[in-house]
Amino acid sequence: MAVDNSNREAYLKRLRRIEGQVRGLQRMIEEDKYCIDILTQVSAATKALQAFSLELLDEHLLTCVVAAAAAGEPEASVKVREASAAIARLVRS
Amino acid sequence: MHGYSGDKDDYLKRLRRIEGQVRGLQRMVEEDKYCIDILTQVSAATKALQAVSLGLIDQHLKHCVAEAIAEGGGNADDKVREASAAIARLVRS
Repeated sequence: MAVDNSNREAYLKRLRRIEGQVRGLQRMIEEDKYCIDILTQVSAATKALQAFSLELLDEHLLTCVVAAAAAGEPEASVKVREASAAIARLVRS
Repeated sequence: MHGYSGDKDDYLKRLRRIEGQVRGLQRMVEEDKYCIDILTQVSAATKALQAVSLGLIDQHLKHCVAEAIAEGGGNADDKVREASAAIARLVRS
């Protein structure tokens, strides 16, 4: 299962905002802004991406993983292992 | 002159690539791609942004902060304090 329909627009809006933040960073570099001010904006964009991934993960656990758990084995183990690996990638990123 | 001035083109190229990654994420959401695959791409974009911030902070320390220390006076303390605060924001993001 992919992203829930009702959430899709909200996700797209957030990603468009993050895209704008990354474009803003390019503008800051072009305009020779001060390093620390750029860093503050990079932190903000990173935080926004991380918040997005936490929400996506939350939705995935509540829908796909819960459904797989209800369906029983072997889907349950497969989905839980897959989600664990995704969480590990997030923690490492 | 800023720490990153000599590598402006490199930073712009990296940020344009990250912008493309974020646009790719929007496409994935629009095309109903599987949550875990989207999460993997969010992790990659987050990692790329963090690499940019590490590069920026490294150059800022080597140039702006090192210069302020060499010059001595109160400005050195201010620059170190400012860089510490920026690192704290990165660690928290």
